[in-house]
Amino acid sequence: MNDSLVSLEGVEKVFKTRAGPFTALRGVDLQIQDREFVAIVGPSGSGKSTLINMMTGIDRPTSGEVHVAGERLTGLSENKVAKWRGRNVGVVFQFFQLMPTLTVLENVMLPMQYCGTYKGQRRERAMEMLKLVEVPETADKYPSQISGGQQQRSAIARALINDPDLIVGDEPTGNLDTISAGLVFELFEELVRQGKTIVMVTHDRELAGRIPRVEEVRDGRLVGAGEVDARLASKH
Amino acid sequence: MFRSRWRKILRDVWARKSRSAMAATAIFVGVLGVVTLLSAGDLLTSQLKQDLREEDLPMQAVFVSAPGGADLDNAAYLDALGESPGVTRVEGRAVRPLAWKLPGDAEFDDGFILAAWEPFDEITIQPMRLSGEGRYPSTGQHEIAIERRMADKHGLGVGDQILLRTPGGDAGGDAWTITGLVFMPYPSFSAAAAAVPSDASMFATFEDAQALGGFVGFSTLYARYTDFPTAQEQSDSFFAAIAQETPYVAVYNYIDDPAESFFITQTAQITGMLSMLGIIAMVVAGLLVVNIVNSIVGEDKRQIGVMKSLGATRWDNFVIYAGIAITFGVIGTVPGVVIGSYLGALMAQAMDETLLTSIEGFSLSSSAILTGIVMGLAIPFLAAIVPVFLGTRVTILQAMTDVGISGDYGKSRWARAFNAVPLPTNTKQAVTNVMRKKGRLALTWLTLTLAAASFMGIFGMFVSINDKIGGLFDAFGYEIVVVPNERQDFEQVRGLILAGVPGVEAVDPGIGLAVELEDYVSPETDTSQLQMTGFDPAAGSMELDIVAGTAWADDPAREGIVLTRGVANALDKAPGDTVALVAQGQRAEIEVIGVASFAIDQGFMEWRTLARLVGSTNSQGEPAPTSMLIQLVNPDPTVEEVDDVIDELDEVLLSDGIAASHVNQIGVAEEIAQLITMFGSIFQIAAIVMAVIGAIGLLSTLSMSVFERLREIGIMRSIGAGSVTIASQFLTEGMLVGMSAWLVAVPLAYLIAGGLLASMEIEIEGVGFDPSALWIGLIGMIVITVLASLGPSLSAARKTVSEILRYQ
Repeated sequence: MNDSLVSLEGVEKVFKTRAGPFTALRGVDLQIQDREFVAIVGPSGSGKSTLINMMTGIDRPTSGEVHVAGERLTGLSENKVAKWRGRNVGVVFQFFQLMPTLTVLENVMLPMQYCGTYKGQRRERAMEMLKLVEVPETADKYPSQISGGQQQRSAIARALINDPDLIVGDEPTGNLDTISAGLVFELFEELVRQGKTIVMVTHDRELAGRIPRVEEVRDGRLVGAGEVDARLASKH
Repeated sequence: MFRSRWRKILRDVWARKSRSAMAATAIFVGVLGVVTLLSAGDLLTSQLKQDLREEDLPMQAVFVSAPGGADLDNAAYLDALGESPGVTRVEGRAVRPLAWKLPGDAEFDDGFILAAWEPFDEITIQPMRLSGEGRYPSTGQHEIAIERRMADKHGLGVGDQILLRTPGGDAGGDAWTITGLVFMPYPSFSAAAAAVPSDASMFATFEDAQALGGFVGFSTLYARYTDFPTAQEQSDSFFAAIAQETPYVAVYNYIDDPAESFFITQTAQITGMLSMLGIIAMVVAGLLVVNIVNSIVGEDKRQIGVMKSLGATRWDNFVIYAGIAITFGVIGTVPGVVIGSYLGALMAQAMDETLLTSIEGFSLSSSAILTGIVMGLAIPFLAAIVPVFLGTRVTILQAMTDVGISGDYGKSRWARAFNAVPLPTNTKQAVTNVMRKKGRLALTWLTLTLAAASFMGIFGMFVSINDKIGGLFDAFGYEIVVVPNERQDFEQVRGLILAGVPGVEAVDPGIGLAVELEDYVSPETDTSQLQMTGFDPAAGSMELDIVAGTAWADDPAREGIVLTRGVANALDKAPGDTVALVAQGQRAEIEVIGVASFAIDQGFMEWRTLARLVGSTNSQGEPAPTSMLIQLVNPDPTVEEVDDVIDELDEVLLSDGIAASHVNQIGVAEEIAQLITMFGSIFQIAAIVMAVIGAIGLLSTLSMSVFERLREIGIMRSIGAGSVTIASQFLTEGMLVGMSAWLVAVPLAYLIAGGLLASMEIEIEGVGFDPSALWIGLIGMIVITVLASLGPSLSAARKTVSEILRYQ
């Protein structure tokens, strides 16, 4: 294991399907350092989501090793990995995925309750996070009562609530209009400036072009960084 | 198209094996219940209707006590009674105990001799019928006929001999020849008010029966009137005429409309109630089908969209999903009808003796089978209509764009109000999820509520009945009642028993009969007759719980009446007031000297006072008891121990020429307890079936909820929720449904208990609802809810995020 915040070594992921085994990742090696902002790009079905699922512990490799924030994820049980994830990784989804029957504030407080953190100051901390993502006015509203952009900002607040080092987004701007997507992206940039590490999957080449490091996945393999830069440059 | 549609239906049913099994099992259980209970009811009532001919039934039956040693002119008495207003026919009958055995047997069996004053072929009220070969017996030839069920049970036939134990006769028995087998469809009762078992019934001419049973008089007088309203009007005149025209003492008066015979209506009522429970179970099964079809249509939302995009109409989809429901129905109905028909026939045979009829051989009830098939197929189809109709309404766009967690919560007033309630987040999520699925959960909730209410209502009522009946028997300080065929010299018989029967502690006098009490209306018979018990307050034969007045505390010979609380309340009488009793055609005002807490409406008097009032006297005109109450040395004997004493007692009395009926009080208490347990168990089974169906419904609803909320579970897991958090949420949801069902079931249980008591016409003071049933119901509900919620909860907790995301 090295000092990287995220370290994938020889990660292979094979899904068993009725049509036979399907290899989603083929010997992926990837190191991400603290405070990096990394975009994962690639065509549909290339293995982008599987790759970030390895980093969050949502999925496990068939072979290879995954270390995140000093933890060897392949050795943890499903329950332990859930707790670990709640404390160490903030996950942001494309469709926001706020609990519909809880208010925004309660949604933001959830990871603290699950992980037993910030006892006695959860409400205040959740409000702080909502202020940080600039939607404090949504605190007592239900997800159905606010816009998509506000929902995604609330979801980011939820991801940040346990102060994780790593934020992982699976197309976090994919379901937002251009203005909202821009605002969310600016928020991510600000979080990186504040010391967070962000890894996000995106189909948006323009946004990817604004991210310092871009990793492309093709047929389950990582394509070389230089090759990606050249292609991104050629698009602009 | 038709073939491919059915292929899809069958494959869908097979693909969801566990849910298909649940739905089919629920329908199977429902159909099984309906067919079993309807078959049993139909077979029993049909048999009773076939056996009990309206024109042969009496309108009035008066049980009488005959004076001992008197020279009776029975023919003259019958003629005189026949002149009573409105009476068209009077017949006299004697039903007396008669011990019998097969040649070679060591011990005698208990049996009864039934004899009519009229020659066999002239009996018009409750006539027996010759069954197959043989003829009726003739007088003086040592000939006897036996009931065909007795013949079947003991392998007896025409020409066989049996040994009969006659009072004062040979202790080894006299040989009598069977001349015929008789079918006696009508119930007969002994002087001790016990139903005579068909498989121990023997028939002889009246003269022969007198010799065999050691009696001279009747035990019952039957009367028919021009019509039943006349019988109702004139029954009191007939009752009074018995006292005026004959030396008999009328013990109990029974009036029944032959067109609506109590025995048929009672059976119809009991089986009707059971059938109703079966139908409720079937309807409840339908609720489960609604849940399951709902869940299948919900799951197949995308499939429906795809099929629509390929050109399938809403009707095509409707046929497919309604077809699935009907397939569940077919799978459940076929075995339900077959097994139910068989069980129904068995149940009818098991219950026939209790309901005073006889079902022989295996018979099927076509109406029960037809009802089972129709309900088994129609209920799942009807249950599926709404969910299928709503489910197939989905548009292609809706079906194909079903992404993310459903997010339309929070717009209602309820959601805004609930937001203010300070609850833990997990509980809040459980509550809101229950509210979001309220339409679907409502059916499960309703099922559980009905099941819990039925269970608690039935249980509470039967516990209460058992308790009160137990209390009733506690009041009796004796274990055996001896009712001599005719009144005997009490002191002489007491001396005989005390000297000759070991284990007897005391023999006390008793009188049991009905008298007319002015202004009183019996809730059981709707007449003014009140059952009276005369006993010796100085002896320990009765231990009444006196709640008002002093009764015989200061003077055991005190004249006056103790009324049970129900009667005192109905008449608004208290100690010191007087009531008017009519006996022997004479009206007498009696002081109320006490009020007793007792389960059944009754009056109690010092036995001599009662004997004088009703004319129960010996040849010297002194009060004579109609029965003897025997207390045993053993304070807590078993039924068998009491029977042993009765055998000894019988031998001593018969050797002295006295024939008598006996009641084993311990046996009666046990029989009543068994009867209550039997009916209680049948009702409980129906309630438990409903509870099981409710549990399956909850299981299915929560499983569906797990499926629908997979994404939610995945998200919770991805932000740190552990298995306990997720499992506890589903468990809380199940508990919420179960506990709210229990809460609503509590008042319903009281109503059900009250309704059942009213419909079963149980008139026992203080019987109602035992609250312990509520706690047992609560424990049962918690167990059912936890068991039903555990599977889906654990299943939800086991889901991994990767599993969920891949599935989605």
